[in-house]
Amino acid sequence: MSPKESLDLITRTIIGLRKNAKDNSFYFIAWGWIIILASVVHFVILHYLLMQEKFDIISWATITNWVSFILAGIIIQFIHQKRNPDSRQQQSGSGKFLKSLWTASGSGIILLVIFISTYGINPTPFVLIIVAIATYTTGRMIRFKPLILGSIAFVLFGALALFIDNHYQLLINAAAILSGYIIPGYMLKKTKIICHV
Amino acid sequence: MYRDLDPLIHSQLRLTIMSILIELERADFTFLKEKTGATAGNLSVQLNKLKEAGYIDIEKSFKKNYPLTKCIITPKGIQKFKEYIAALKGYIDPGTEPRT
Repeated sequence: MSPKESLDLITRTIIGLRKNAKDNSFYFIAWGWIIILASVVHFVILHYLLMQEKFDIISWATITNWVSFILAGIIIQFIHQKRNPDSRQQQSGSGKFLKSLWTASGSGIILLVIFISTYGINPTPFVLIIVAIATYTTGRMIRFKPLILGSIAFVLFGALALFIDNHYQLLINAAAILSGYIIPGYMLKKTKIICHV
Repeated sequence: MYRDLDPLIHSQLRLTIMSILIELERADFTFLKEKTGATAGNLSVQLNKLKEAGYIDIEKSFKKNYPLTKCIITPKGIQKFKEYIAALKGYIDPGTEPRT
Protein backbone atom coordinates (compact mmCIF):
# COMPACT_ATOMS: atom_id res chain seq x y z
CA MET A 1 0.00 0.00 0.00
CA SER A 2 1.30 3.44 -0.84
CA PRO A 3 0.89 6.24 1.77
CA LYS A 4 -1.88 7.79 -0.36
CA GLU A 5 -3.70 4.46 -0.56
CA SER A 6 -3.42 4.17 3.21
CA LEU A 7 -4.91 7.62 3.72
CA ASP A 8 -7.69 6.87 1.23
CA LEU A 9 -8.48 3.65 3.07
CA ILE A 10 -8.70 5.46 6.41
CA THR A 11 -10.87 8.20 4.94
CA ARG A 12 -13.24 5.75 3.20
CA THR A 13 -13.61 3.70 6.36
CA ILE A 14 -14.34 6.68 8.57
CA ILE A 15 -16.67 8.30 6.02
CA GLY A 16 -18.69 5.11 5.97
CA LEU A 17 -19.01 5.20 9.74
CA ARG A 18 -19.64 8.95 10.00
CA LYS A 19 -22.35 8.90 7.34
CA ASN A 20 -24.44 7.33 10.06
CA ALA A 21 -23.72 10.22 12.37
CA LYS A 22 -24.71 12.69 9.62
CA ASP A 23 -28.09 10.93 9.36
CA ASN A 24 -28.87 12.43 12.77
CA SER A 25 -29.11 15.84 11.09
CA PHE A 26 -32.60 14.99 9.80
CA TYR A 27 -34.00 14.66 13.31
CA PHE A 28 -32.55 17.95 14.53
CA ILE A 29 -33.79 19.82 11.46
CA ALA A 30 -37.25 18.22 11.30
CA TRP A 31 -38.03 18.41 15.00
CA GLY A 32 -36.41 21.81 15.23
CA TRP A 33 -38.78 23.33 12.66
CA ILE A 34 -41.79 21.52 14.15
CA ILE A 35 -41.10 22.89 17.62
CA ILE A 36 -40.36 26.39 16.31
CA LEU A 37 -43.65 26.42 14.37
CA ALA A 38 -45.55 25.02 17.34
CA SER A 39 -44.03 27.68 19.63
CA VAL A 40 -44.78 30.55 17.27
CA VAL A 41 -48.33 29.36 16.57
CA HIS A 42 -48.86 28.89 20.31
CA PHE A 43 -47.62 32.44 20.92
CA VAL A 44 -49.93 33.87 18.27
CA ILE A 45 -52.92 31.91 19.59
CA LEU A 46 -52.22 32.99 23.19
CA HIS A 47 -51.67 36.60 22.18
CA TYR A 48 -54.97 36.68 20.26
CA LEU A 49 -56.98 34.86 22.92
CA LEU A 50 -55.60 37.04 25.71
CA MET A 51 -56.44 40.19 23.74
CA GLN A 52 -59.94 38.87 23.08
CA GLU A 53 -60.20 37.76 26.73
CA LYS A 54 -61.26 34.28 25.68
CA PHE A 55 -59.63 32.66 28.69
CA ASP A 56 -61.86 29.58 28.75
CA ILE A 57 -60.47 28.10 25.53
CA ILE A 58 -56.76 28.82 26.14
CA SER A 59 -56.00 25.34 27.57
CA TRP A 60 -57.89 23.57 24.79
CA ALA A 61 -56.15 25.63 22.09
CA THR A 62 -52.72 25.08 23.67
CA ILE A 63 -53.10 21.33 23.93
CA THR A 64 -54.52 21.03 20.41
CA ASN A 65 -51.66 23.06 19.00
CA TRP A 66 -48.89 21.00 20.58
CA VAL A 67 -50.54 17.61 20.11
CA SER A 68 -51.09 18.40 16.41
CA PHE A 69 -47.49 19.43 15.80
CA ILE A 70 -46.03 16.53 17.79
CA LEU A 71 -48.23 14.04 15.97
CA ALA A 72 -47.10 15.56 12.68
CA GLY A 73 -43.50 15.16 13.84
CA ILE A 74 -44.01 11.52 14.75
CA ILE A 75 -45.57 10.82 11.36
CA ILE A 76 -42.72 12.59 9.53
CA GLN A 77 -40.15 10.66 11.59
CA PHE A 78 -41.93 7.36 10.93
CA ILE A 79 -41.97 7.99 7.17
CA HIS A 80 -38.29 8.98 7.22
CA GLN A 81 -37.32 5.84 9.12
CA LYS A 82 -39.30 3.63 6.74
CA ARG A 83 -37.44 5.14 3.81
CA ASN A 84 -34.06 5.06 5.58
CA PRO A 85 -33.76 1.94 7.74
CA ASP A 86 -31.30 2.28 10.62
CA SER A 87 -27.77 1.52 9.59
CA ARG A 88 -25.20 -0.60 11.37
CA GLN A 89 -24.32 2.34 13.60
CA GLN A 90 -26.37 0.49 16.18
CA GLN A 91 -23.84 -2.28 16.11
CA SER A 92 -21.39 -0.06 17.94
CA GLY A 93 -23.91 0.68 20.66
CA SER A 94 -23.87 4.43 20.16
CA GLY A 95 -26.92 4.38 17.90
CA LYS A 96 -28.93 2.41 20.43
CA PHE A 97 -27.80 4.71 23.21
CA LEU A 98 -28.80 7.87 21.32
CA LYS A 99 -32.22 6.42 20.51
CA SER A 100 -32.76 5.62 24.19
CA LEU A 101 -31.48 9.04 25.22
CA TRP A 102 -33.89 10.95 23.01
CA THR A 103 -36.81 8.64 23.77
CA ALA A 104 -36.24 9.18 27.49
CA SER A 105 -35.72 12.93 27.06
CA GLY A 106 -38.83 13.33 24.92
CA SER A 107 -40.93 11.33 27.36
CA GLY A 108 -39.51 13.29 30.27
CA ILE A 109 -40.32 16.60 28.57
CA ILE A 110 -43.93 15.58 27.94
CA LEU A 111 -44.39 14.47 31.56
CA LEU A 112 -42.65 17.60 32.84
CA VAL A 113 -44.89 19.87 30.78
CA ILE A 114 -48.02 18.08 32.00
CA PHE A 115 -47.01 18.12 35.69
CA ILE A 116 -45.62 21.67 35.83
CA SER A 117 -48.43 23.21 33.77
CA THR A 118 -50.99 21.95 36.29
CA TYR A 119 -49.35 24.33 38.80
CA GLY A 120 -49.59 27.23 36.37
CA ILE A 121 -45.79 27.36 35.95
CA ASN A 122 -44.42 27.85 32.46
CA PRO A 123 -42.22 24.82 31.72
CA THR A 124 -39.95 26.47 29.10
CA PRO A 125 -36.81 26.92 31.27
CA PHE A 126 -36.96 23.35 32.55
CA VAL A 127 -37.64 21.85 29.12
CA LEU A 128 -34.66 23.70 27.68
CA ILE A 129 -32.38 22.27 30.39
CA ILE A 130 -33.45 18.71 29.54
CA VAL A 131 -32.92 19.41 25.84
CA ALA A 132 -29.50 20.91 26.64
CA ILE A 133 -28.41 17.71 28.39
CA ALA A 134 -29.56 15.47 25.53
CA THR A 135 -28.04 17.75 22.87
CA TYR A 136 -24.71 17.96 24.72
CA THR A 137 -24.56 14.18 25.10
CA THR A 138 -25.34 13.69 21.41
CA GLY A 139 -22.73 16.24 20.40
CA ARG A 140 -20.11 14.45 22.48
CA MET A 141 -21.03 11.01 21.16
CA ILE A 142 -20.89 11.95 17.49
CA ARG A 143 -18.02 14.39 18.13
CA PHE A 144 -19.72 17.39 16.61
CA LYS A 145 -18.84 20.66 18.33
CA PRO A 146 -21.72 22.83 16.99
CA LEU A 147 -24.16 20.56 18.86
CA ILE A 148 -22.17 21.03 22.05
CA LEU A 149 -22.31 24.79 21.50
CA GLY A 150 -26.04 24.40 20.77
CA SER A 151 -26.50 22.80 24.18
CA ILE A 152 -24.88 25.85 25.78
CA ALA A 153 -27.34 28.03 23.85
CA PHE A 154 -30.20 26.01 25.35
CA VAL A 155 -28.89 26.62 28.86
CA LEU A 156 -28.51 30.36 28.23
CA PHE A 157 -31.97 30.72 26.70
CA GLY A 158 -33.38 28.61 29.53
CA ALA A 159 -31.89 31.03 32.04
CA LEU A 160 -33.22 34.00 30.02
CA ALA A 161 -36.71 32.48 29.99
CA LEU A 162 -36.82 32.78 33.78
CA PHE A 163 -36.85 36.58 33.45
CA ILE A 164 -39.35 36.87 30.60
CA ASP A 165 -43.13 37.27 30.90
CA ASN A 166 -45.07 34.08 30.44
CA HIS A 167 -46.23 33.76 26.85
CA TYR A 168 -43.15 35.56 25.49
CA GLN A 169 -41.19 32.57 26.73
CA LEU A 170 -42.50 30.79 23.66
CA LEU A 171 -40.44 33.13 21.48
CA ILE A 172 -37.42 32.34 23.70
CA ASN A 173 -38.17 28.67 23.08
CA ALA A 174 -38.23 29.25 19.30
CA ALA A 175 -34.94 31.19 19.43
CA ALA A 176 -33.35 28.44 21.54
CA ILE A 177 -34.41 25.74 19.09
CA LEU A 178 -33.05 27.80 16.19
CA SER A 179 -29.67 28.13 17.93
CA GLY A 180 -29.45 24.66 19.42
CA TYR A 181 -31.13 22.44 16.81
CA ILE A 182 -31.63 24.13 13.45
CA ILE A 183 -28.23 25.75 12.96
CA PRO A 184 -26.20 22.73 14.19
CA GLY A 185 -28.57 20.44 12.25
CA TYR A 186 -27.88 22.18 8.94
CA MET A 187 -24.17 22.33 9.73
CA LEU A 188 -24.18 18.59 10.41
CA LYS A 189 -26.02 17.95 7.16
CA LYS A 190 -23.52 19.97 5.15
CA THR A 191 -20.37 19.00 6.99
CA LYS A 192 -17.60 17.47 4.94
CA ILE A 193 -16.24 14.35 6.52
CA ILE A 194 -12.63 14.91 7.53
CA CYS A 195 -10.38 12.44 9.24
CA HIS A 196 -10.05 14.07 12.67
CA VAL A 197 -7.01 12.42 14.16
CA MET B 1 10.69 14.71 6.45
CA TYR B 2 9.97 10.99 6.04
CA ARG B 3 9.23 8.88 9.08
CA ASP B 4 8.98 5.10 9.13
CA LEU B 5 5.39 3.87 8.87
CA ASP B 6 4.43 1.60 11.77
CA PRO B 7 4.51 -1.85 10.13
CA LEU B 8 1.88 -3.12 12.54
CA ILE B 9 -0.66 -0.55 11.35
CA HIS B 10 0.57 -0.38 7.75
CA SER B 11 -1.34 -3.39 6.48
CA GLN B 12 -4.71 -3.17 4.79
CA LEU B 13 -6.72 -5.24 7.26
CA ARG B 14 -5.08 -3.94 10.44
CA LEU B 15 -5.33 -0.36 9.15
CA THR B 16 -9.05 -0.83 8.51
CA ILE B 17 -9.51 -2.28 12.00
CA MET B 18 -7.66 0.63 13.58
CA SER B 19 -9.62 3.17 11.48
CA ILE B 20 -12.91 1.69 12.67
CA LEU B 21 -11.78 1.65 16.30
CA ILE B 22 -10.32 5.17 16.20
CA GLU B 23 -13.77 6.37 15.12
CA LEU B 24 -16.02 4.16 17.26
CA GLU B 25 -13.64 3.41 20.18
CA ARG B 26 -15.10 -0.08 20.46
CA ALA B 27 -16.70 -2.62 18.14
CA ASP B 28 -17.53 -6.28 18.34
CA PHE B 29 -15.99 -9.05 16.26
CA THR B 30 -19.04 -9.53 14.03
CA PHE B 31 -19.16 -5.83 13.15
CA LEU B 32 -15.45 -5.76 12.33
CA LYS B 33 -15.80 -8.89 10.20
CA GLU B 34 -18.68 -7.32 8.27
CA LYS B 35 -16.93 -3.97 7.77
CA THR B 36 -13.56 -5.43 6.80
CA GLY B 37 -14.85 -8.35 4.72
CA ALA B 38 -12.17 -10.53 6.31
CA THR B 39 -12.55 -14.19 7.20
CA ALA B 40 -13.06 -14.98 10.87
CA GLY B 41 -9.69 -16.71 11.09
CA ASN B 42 -7.69 -13.92 9.46
CA LEU B 43 -9.48 -11.24 11.49
CA SER B 44 -8.78 -13.16 14.69
CA VAL B 45 -5.06 -13.40 13.88
CA GLN B 46 -4.79 -9.67 13.10
CA LEU B 47 -6.70 -8.67 16.24
CA ASN B 48 -4.36 -10.76 18.35
CA LYS B 49 -1.34 -9.04 16.80
CA LEU B 50 -2.83 -5.65 17.66
CA LYS B 51 -3.64 -6.86 21.14
CA GLU B 52 -0.14 -8.20 21.76
CA ALA B 53 1.28 -4.83 20.75
CA GLY B 54 -1.08 -3.11 23.21
CA TYR B 55 -2.97 -1.19 20.53
CA ILE B 56 -6.31 -2.76 21.41
CA ASP B 57 -7.93 -4.67 24.24
CA ILE B 58 -10.16 -7.66 23.62
CA GLU B 59 -13.01 -8.50 25.97
CA LYS B 60 -14.67 -11.87 25.70
CA SER B 61 -18.08 -12.58 27.17
CA PHE B 62 -21.23 -14.50 26.42
CA LYS B 63 -24.60 -13.27 25.22
CA LYS B 64 -27.40 -15.81 25.32
CA ASN B 65 -24.83 -18.64 25.27
CA TYR B 66 -23.08 -17.20 22.22
CA PRO B 67 -19.52 -15.91 22.55
CA LEU B 68 -19.23 -12.14 22.23
CA THR B 69 -15.87 -10.56 21.50
CA LYS B 70 -15.47 -6.81 21.88
CA CYS B 71 -12.43 -4.87 20.69
CA ILE B 72 -11.53 -1.57 22.30
CA ILE B 73 -8.77 0.76 21.17
CA THR B 74 -6.27 1.64 23.92
CA PRO B 75 -4.65 5.03 24.58
CA LYS B 76 -1.44 3.54 23.16
CA GLY B 77 -3.34 2.49 20.04
CA ILE B 78 -4.77 5.99 19.63
CA GLN B 79 -1.34 7.54 20.00
CA LYS B 80 0.24 5.10 17.55
CA PHE B 81 -2.53 5.76 15.02
CA LYS B 82 -2.00 9.51 15.30
CA GLU B 83 1.72 9.00 14.77
CA TYR B 84 0.95 6.86 11.73
CA ILE B 85 -1.27 9.59 10.24
CA ALA B 86 1.40 12.19 10.91
CA ALA B 87 3.99 10.01 9.18
CA LEU B 88 1.63 9.48 6.20
CA LYS B 89 1.22 13.23 5.82
CA GLY B 90 4.98 13.52 5.67
CA TYR B 91 4.98 11.28 2.59
CA ILE B 92 2.03 12.94 0.89
CA ASP B 93 3.20 16.49 1.55
CA PRO B 94 6.96 16.29 2.14
CA GLY B 95 7.13 20.03 2.79
CA THR B 96 5.06 19.61 5.94
CA GLU B 97 6.79 18.67 9.16
CA PRO B 98 4.70 15.87 10.68
CA ARG B 99 3.25 16.69 14.09
CA THR B 100 1.91 14.23 16.63
